[in-house]
Amino acid sequence: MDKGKQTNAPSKGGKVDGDGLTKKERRALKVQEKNKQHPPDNKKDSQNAPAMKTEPAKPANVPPGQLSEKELRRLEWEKKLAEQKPKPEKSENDNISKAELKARRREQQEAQRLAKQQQQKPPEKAAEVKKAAPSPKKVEKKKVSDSRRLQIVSHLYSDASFSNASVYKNVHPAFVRLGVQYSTKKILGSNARARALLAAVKCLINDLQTPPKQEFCRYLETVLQTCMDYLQLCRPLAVSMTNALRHFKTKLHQVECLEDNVKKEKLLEEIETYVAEEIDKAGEAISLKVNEKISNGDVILTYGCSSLVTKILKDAHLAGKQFKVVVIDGRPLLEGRTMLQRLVQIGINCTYVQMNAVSYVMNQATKLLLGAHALLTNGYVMSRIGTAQVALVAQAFSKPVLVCCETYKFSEQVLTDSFVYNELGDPEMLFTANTLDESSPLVTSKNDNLQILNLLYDVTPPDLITAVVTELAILPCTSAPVVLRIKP
Amino acid sequence: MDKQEVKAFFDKTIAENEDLSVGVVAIMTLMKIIEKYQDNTVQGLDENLKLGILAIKTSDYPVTAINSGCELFMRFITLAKLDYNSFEQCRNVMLERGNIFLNRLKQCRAKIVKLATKFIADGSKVLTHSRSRVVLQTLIEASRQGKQFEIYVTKSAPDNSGDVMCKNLTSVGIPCTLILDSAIGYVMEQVDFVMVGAEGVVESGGIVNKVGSYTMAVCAKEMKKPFYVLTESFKFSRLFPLNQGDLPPEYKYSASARQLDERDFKKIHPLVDYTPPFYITLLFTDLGILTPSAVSDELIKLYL
Amino acid sequence: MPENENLTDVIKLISDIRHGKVFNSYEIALRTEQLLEKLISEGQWNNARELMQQIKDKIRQVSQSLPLEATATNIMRHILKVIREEFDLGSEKKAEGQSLHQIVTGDQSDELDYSESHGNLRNRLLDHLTEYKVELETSTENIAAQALEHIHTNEIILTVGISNTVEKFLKHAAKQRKFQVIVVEAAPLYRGHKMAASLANSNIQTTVIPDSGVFAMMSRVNKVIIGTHSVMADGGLRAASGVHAIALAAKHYSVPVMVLSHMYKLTPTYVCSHEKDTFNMCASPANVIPYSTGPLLNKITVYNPIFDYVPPELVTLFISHQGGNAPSYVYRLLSELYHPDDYEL
Repeated sequence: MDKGKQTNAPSKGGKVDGDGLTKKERRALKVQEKNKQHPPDNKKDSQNAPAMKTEPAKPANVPPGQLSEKELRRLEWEKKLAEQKPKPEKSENDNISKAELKARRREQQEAQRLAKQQQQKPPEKAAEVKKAAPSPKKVEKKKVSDSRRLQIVSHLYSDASFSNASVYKNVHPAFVRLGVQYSTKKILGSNARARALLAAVKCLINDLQTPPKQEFCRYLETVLQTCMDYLQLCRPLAVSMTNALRHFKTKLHQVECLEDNVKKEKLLEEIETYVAEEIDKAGEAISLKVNEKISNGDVILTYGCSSLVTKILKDAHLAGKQFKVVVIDGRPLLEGRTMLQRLVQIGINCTYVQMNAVSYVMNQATKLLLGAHALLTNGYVMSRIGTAQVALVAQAFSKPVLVCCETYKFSEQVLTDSFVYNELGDPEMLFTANTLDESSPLVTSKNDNLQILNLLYDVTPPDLITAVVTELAILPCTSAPVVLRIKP
Repeated sequence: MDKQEVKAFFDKTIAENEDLSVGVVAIMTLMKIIEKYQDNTVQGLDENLKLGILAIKTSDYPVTAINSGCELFMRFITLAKLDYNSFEQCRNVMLERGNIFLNRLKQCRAKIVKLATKFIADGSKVLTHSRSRVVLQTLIEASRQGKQFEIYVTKSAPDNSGDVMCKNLTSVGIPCTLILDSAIGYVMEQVDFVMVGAEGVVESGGIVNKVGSYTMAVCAKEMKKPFYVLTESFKFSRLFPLNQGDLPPEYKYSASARQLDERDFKKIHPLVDYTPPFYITLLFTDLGILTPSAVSDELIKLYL
Repeated sequence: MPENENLTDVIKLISDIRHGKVFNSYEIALRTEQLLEKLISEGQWNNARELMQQIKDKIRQVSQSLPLEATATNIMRHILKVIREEFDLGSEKKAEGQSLHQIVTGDQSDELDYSESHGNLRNRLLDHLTEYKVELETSTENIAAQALEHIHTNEIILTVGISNTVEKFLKHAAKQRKFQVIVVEAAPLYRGHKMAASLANSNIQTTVIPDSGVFAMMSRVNKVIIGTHSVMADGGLRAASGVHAIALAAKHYSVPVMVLSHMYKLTPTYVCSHEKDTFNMCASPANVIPYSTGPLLNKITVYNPIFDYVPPELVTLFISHQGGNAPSYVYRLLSELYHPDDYEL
């Protein structure tokens, strides 16, 4: 029970389980119940990497019985830190039983798949390595110096760094881990992020022990709030995540009247239903609808990487339709390559081009299929940057543009341009390109006049879009507020 | 020659030469007038020619081409009024020049066909309007070069000249579909480009052509399909219509229709409409391939 | 054989272009001009017709080997026109025109012979050529000198990739006006980085954005200033890949698109919508997706087109060393540069 199972990975590698709980911590829970303390083990949390930079808080000598389990966990972390060698690279050895492992695995499947499928990184088992392996420099958000900030997006630069221990003092390790995965872009895509978030919430519910004299729901809410604040610091929340969370909170209020032991089960059930209905079933419904629009001999264009579009194309292919796909890719995330790999594995005939060749391939295309991050109330579609550009070219060539979006991503926000609300990526990602032999002159230029803008999202006006496909119906873009009105 | 003779000659020549444009026939008629002119004054000749033109215009043929052809010819003739001593010499010079001019006009079409066939590629779908001799020749030549393509022709009420065009095309082996005038919008997304002839080209760079061309041009622009016009240079005229209403009535309504009711044209259907230059991609003429903005330039050069 | 000798220098030029030793259009122009100078001063020809025939042979050679390389053929075509003009000046006969007046007053002869020999034709041509060379050399500066007429203070200007002319243009304006430049990095070669670094060194506030960010940024841009590979006869452009999408975004937000082009980039060919295959050519796909991607590459097709056609309605202004022109006026510039008989060779 003490030692972790796998890790063929180098010493720094480790196994991270689904909820981020080390064996230690789980045991700590049991200890809490039995009023005992376990000796600390040699386990670290991936979160320790940034945590290393902070001064560990003094381990308090408090009788175990009086600590809340959160406090206990914190103490144990700090003890570990004190015993640790001061090496930034941390490894994680989690010991989990096989059964629990399986359960956690299933929930994390979506999130892991993304990391798995990057060919340039070492194979799946070492995927976890990446989380712990990157130097603290990467995990910490890049601070762009004032002089090199663009005026127009200066409100989007974030000054917070999460090297401050107090920030994640009370955060559940599952969320801590999630935060790292988000900020290092291990989990990309709004569906994946929403799923990962809900999985973490489930862990939290399972682990939560209400301290005496506090009500379960209230307590859960406060804990959840702390976790979400932390996540917000790591990476601004996606619309899908916000909507999922809001739904969860509504359900939380609804279970208040139930008995305590039933509450948890009910909540877990609610989350699972939400995922099954809003994400999985919705995806299937959308896939069926789009399937009717795909005919034999079609040349379908798509941009970047979308789990929903992959699903649609896969289903259409399995249904026996003959079509070709052209994947358009954009810098710097180059998500199109991931999409390409997935589609090729399914067996679809694919073509790959960069953003500059859009006009070249648009002629032979019959339709454009896009995913979305969110659909806004005024009919605009918020999606990966470059989507608007591709939609514009499609409209210039009179090709129909279909945006596939589950209804849970519909948002009350109203945006007309891509600056007021957006997310900034790391500017240094634009420096390198693995297709160039020589390094970019931007790397060496220390000139303050030179700035780099790496926006992550853009907003597509509704006149560039032919239709939005949701699980309810195929709608014109302007009917977004209608859906928001009728959704519970 | 008096009015009746002129008209008879005109009608006869048209009937005999299906292939020639109405404008060319009008010029041939004017040449005949010069030949048959008995008196010895240039002034008289001038007047006779003007009367002749009026007579030609009373026929029911579209006036656009007649007008431009005759105007060009008249300018041509007045320029030839050089200092020759005898009228006879002058007239001979005019006839000579006239023949050169006529020959040149007959070669026009060949030049246009050469330019336009390059734009027809294998596997293209072309939409055309009503019956145009130049377009027909171009398509026949392209087919002779071995290209495979498909044509859509509008029926083009009220004279259903699209039927004739379709028949001509199928007889040469070009697959041709006759469509209703109202089906232009429906067909437009399938075609690659639109190719029409023109009865007249105006100063703005727009064209005057069989009614329905304007609709087709607007539709083509909306669907982002190129709109090509094939026309000979003698159809260039100095007119500048501002809109459909600004076209002179003699262009729009046939002579017999005008005689019925001078003031109220609302109930008569126009024969032609005006397509502004904004909707035209390129004009193929014997002067070369022109953008609509180059037309005015060429007109000035031509009428110099 | 004199024929082969004539073509050896052209073949050398073609080979240099192919191997990338000469790739800047300006350098190609200079080389072509040198070639012509040599031909006119030292070549074996007795009259205008022979000279024109030799030049036409060269044009055919270049256009067959490098169908998309227009600079060299354009300059040679222009010289053909110059030869015709000089001949007309020297002789009494006039070439046939299309105007009525000329039909009436002209001679019977249809073809102008050009086979009369003129004593000082060679000298006159060489003079003209020297003038042309000076024009070539100063054309970039002349274009840059117009910068202040087009850029005001606090503008945000968008440009794509790298272009010598645009760089000089912006730097010239930056000496007296303060403005910002956004450079699109231009996949797949990312030449925009070099441009941005160079502009930043001249104290111009520069921002680099990826190709995907153009639509998002365009709403804040005041002007788009770009260079081009060549200008087609209808006023459209053959520009670097990606420029069409940028021009569309500019049209969407009603941002004027200004194209800086030298006169030798004007080509008398039209593009019909079916000629996409002959209009464009593709470079190595390794620039789009690296070979290290692995066996995935066996199953996919990758395109890396070099050029883009930009239709004339998306271009607002052409700026050449003689000043600004609308795309609808290109036909006129063409008729001044080339003789209609030389359009198709």
